[in-house]
Amino acid sequence: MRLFIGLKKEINIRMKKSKQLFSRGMIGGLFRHLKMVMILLFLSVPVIASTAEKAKTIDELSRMYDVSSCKTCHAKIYEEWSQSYHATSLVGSLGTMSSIAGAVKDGMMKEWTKSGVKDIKDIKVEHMIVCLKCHLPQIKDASDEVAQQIAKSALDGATGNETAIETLKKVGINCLVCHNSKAIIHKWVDGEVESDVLYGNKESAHADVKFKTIKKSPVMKEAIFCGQCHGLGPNFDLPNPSQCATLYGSYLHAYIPSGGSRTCQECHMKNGHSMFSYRDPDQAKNAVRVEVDARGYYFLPRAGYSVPNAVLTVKMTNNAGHRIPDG
Amino acid sequence: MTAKTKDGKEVFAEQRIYMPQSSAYGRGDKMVYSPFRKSGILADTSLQPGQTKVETFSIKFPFEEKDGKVIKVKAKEMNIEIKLWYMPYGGDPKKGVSGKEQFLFFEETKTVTVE
Repeated sequence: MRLFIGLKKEINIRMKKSKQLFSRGMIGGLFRHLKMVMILLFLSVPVIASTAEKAKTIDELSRMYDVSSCKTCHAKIYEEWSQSYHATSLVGSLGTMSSIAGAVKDGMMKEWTKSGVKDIKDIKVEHMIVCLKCHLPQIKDASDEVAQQIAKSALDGATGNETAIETLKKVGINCLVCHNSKAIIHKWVDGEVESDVLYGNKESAHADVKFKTIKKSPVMKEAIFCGQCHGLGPNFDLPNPSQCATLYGSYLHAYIPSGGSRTCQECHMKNGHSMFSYRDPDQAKNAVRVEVDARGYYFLPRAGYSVPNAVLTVKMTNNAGHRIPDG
Repeated sequence: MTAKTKDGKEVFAEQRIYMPQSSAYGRGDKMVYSPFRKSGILADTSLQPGQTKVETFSIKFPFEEKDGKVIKVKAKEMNIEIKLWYMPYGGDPKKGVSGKEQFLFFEETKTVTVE
């Protein structure tokens, strides 16, 4: 900042001198405009430089999105979240990691013949975004080197390499993804996400060095918030659309038309930030009701041929807000 | 669904699968796995929200027949086990680890008899 302030002073001095020489007519107006442009240019350079700085390693990205301080005041929520698959969104139940590895090995390096990827070193963020758009949205702040690191770790982790698995666990969908990056959806209505603001359900001050303010997200309690990642079908915004979750599509086009009115949050966050689904027995029981009727009798398909038979009728009712299975 | 006689002999086993089924890259008639290549839906046998899926199973008790007539019913009692598994990554429910690769949504055993 010192350099920029010094230069600004210099410009002001020179401008002052120029003003003395010229009248307040068109030329004076031109210089005032030029001064504003130059001040803006000098002020904007450090801002542009900082937004252009992308993480070069997973560790750097992890530090950029460090949420360990949240635990100090939000210990219960932090503990709940750490049990969720969001916290380890590149690993999941290990099936997620295998899927990412498959995308690298079988997709990028094999079936996607026009992707330009022959080796890990050819991988860019634009390749990994097919998975990381949702599994690690903060990849937008990372370089191609990070994409390559994630790809390599997924491949190694899928063969059982514990170090690789732990590397992938360093990053995930954490507090800052939901309570900052993803908090505003309709930016032409609600504005851009402010980088130093946390978003929640109400406005207040926030006792934090960086995030001093909480503002209200207009959609945090709405199903559309979860729908940002939990899918409508093929990701047509990508050059090579992937299709992982179609759950929000099912919610919109099957659950709501069937008369449903609950949000994702009402079911999946009623017990906090664990956001359990199929892993929780109570959640599973509430999601699908099964009734079985059975009886034995002698079936007579033709005269004289009486066959002992058991008939079972199984009724499965889906009480969830989306098809089962889905994700 | 699995049916066994009182002596533990399995006389019936059937599995039905409920899931959305997608083709590769939105074309052709072959179902595939893996999000990186799935696009669109070919068929969908999932449990749909707000709907009840009714499945009927008909299981014959073991019997002997001769000349087109049932001459002996070998077992008049069967224990029929019904299980609904959630398999997030597919596989065989008989081989996976419960609580890790598969999750039991429902389990019940019905004892059915004939006179």
